Amino acid sequence: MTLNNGYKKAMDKITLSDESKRKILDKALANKNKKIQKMFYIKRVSGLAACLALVIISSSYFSFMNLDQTQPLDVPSSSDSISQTETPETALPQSESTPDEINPRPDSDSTNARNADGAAAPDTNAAPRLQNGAEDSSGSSDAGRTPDLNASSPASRSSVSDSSAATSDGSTHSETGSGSAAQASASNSSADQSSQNDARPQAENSAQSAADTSAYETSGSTSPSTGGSDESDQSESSYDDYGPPVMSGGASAASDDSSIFSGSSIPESSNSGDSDPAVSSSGGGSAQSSSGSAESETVGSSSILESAPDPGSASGGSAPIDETYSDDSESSPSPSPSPQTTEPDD
Amino acid sequence: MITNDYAERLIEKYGDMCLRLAFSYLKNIPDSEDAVQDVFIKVFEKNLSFESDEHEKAWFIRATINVCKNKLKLFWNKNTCSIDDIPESAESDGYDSDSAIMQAVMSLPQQYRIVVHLYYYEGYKTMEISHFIGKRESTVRSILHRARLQIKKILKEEYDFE
Repeated sequence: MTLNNGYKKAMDKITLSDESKRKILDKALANKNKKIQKMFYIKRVSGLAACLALVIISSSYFSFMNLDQTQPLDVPSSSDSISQTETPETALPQSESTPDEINPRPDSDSTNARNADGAAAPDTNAAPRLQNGAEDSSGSSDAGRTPDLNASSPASRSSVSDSSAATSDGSTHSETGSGSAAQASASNSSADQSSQNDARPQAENSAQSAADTSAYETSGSTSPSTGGSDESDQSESSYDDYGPPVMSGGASAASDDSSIFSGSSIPESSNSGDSDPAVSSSGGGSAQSSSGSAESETVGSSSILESAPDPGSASGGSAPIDETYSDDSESSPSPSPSPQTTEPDD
Repeated sequence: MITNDYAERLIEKYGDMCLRLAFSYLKNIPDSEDAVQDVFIKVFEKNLSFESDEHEKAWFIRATINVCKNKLKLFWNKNTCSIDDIPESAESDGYDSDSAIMQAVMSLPQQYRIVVHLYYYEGYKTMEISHFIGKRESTVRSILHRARLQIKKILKEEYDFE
């Protein structure tokens, strides 16, 4: 009982004063109107907003990092795509070239059709073929296919010479020798020759070219066959350097078409060959080479005969070549049989 | 709807009770007044309606205990030293420091103080106290027994010392 009484007395002294009661009442009524529940609501909403902000920031950061990681991967892909987009013109002919390789006749027809339009056959279309042909010519097994590709157009020949120079295979020499009427091929092939340490002196080349040009002038043909004669010189130099082409089959086959095309240019070269026996002995792109041809020529001729050049390709010579042929045929019909003999140089 | 008259009546009727109960928890008059204020704010916010006076009183007791527990959980209360821990400044707590019994009760643990306050000052039975604090009746009885022994021990030391 003493505990109860003593404790009650002590606790009775603890009371709320009137001021504290008034204060509590005012605050309670004031908070009643404030609707404090919104404070808790705002806290929850602020917490959720903070979480969402963190999630968004983290997601954006990770996405940014993923982009950084993927960009390097995309760059090569974009470059590939660019290369693919850059080459479609060249790539499409590649796809065309495969059937051409399989069936040379359609290819020769198509190329003849192109050439019939004029020697302005698209280089872009011909280049890939020739590249493929060069690649194929590097392999001896595909040698029989390359000639059609090489004979597609003079421009293609020039590209072949370029590509062959780049590859520096043994087949390149035969290809360069196969070129007859390519305008650009003359410069390119001459550059290749200089790069390949042509054993033949330049003076001799210049003399030959001068003789060729004079012969052409006499024949009245201003066609690019002069380039063919130059190429024949080049082919000579190439044979001199590397001897008879090992890839004689492919090269000769290539030269088949070229010779056939160059059959128009053959008279020119024959004229040149008449004027310059050295050129005739070289006979790379000329038709006369059968008489004074070197071993390479004979090999090339044999290979040509084996490869059985397409008559359609002969008919489908390039436009400028045809012109020259007509001119030459008027001047000297003899070169017509030469196509078979001219092939061996390549 | 709570009117000003009803609020004043509640404060007059349960203000002191809540203050003393909060004081037995917090052992501090200002903190007890804040606790009482929070209790009445809750009542006015929720616009409660009670079945009877007993229910109303029980609700205020339970609300005061919860508010005091929440205040004790605050970082400030956990990481500050209570002024009661300093014996010389015990007079500033606001209660009769001359009462040895009061000092002995305030020196008891928290759960002992609540049970002693409800049992000896408010007059509740152990069954009712068990409902307030959420424990068994036997636990309340054992707590009362232990509180009495400690108070006796404290008072005996004082009286023996005197």
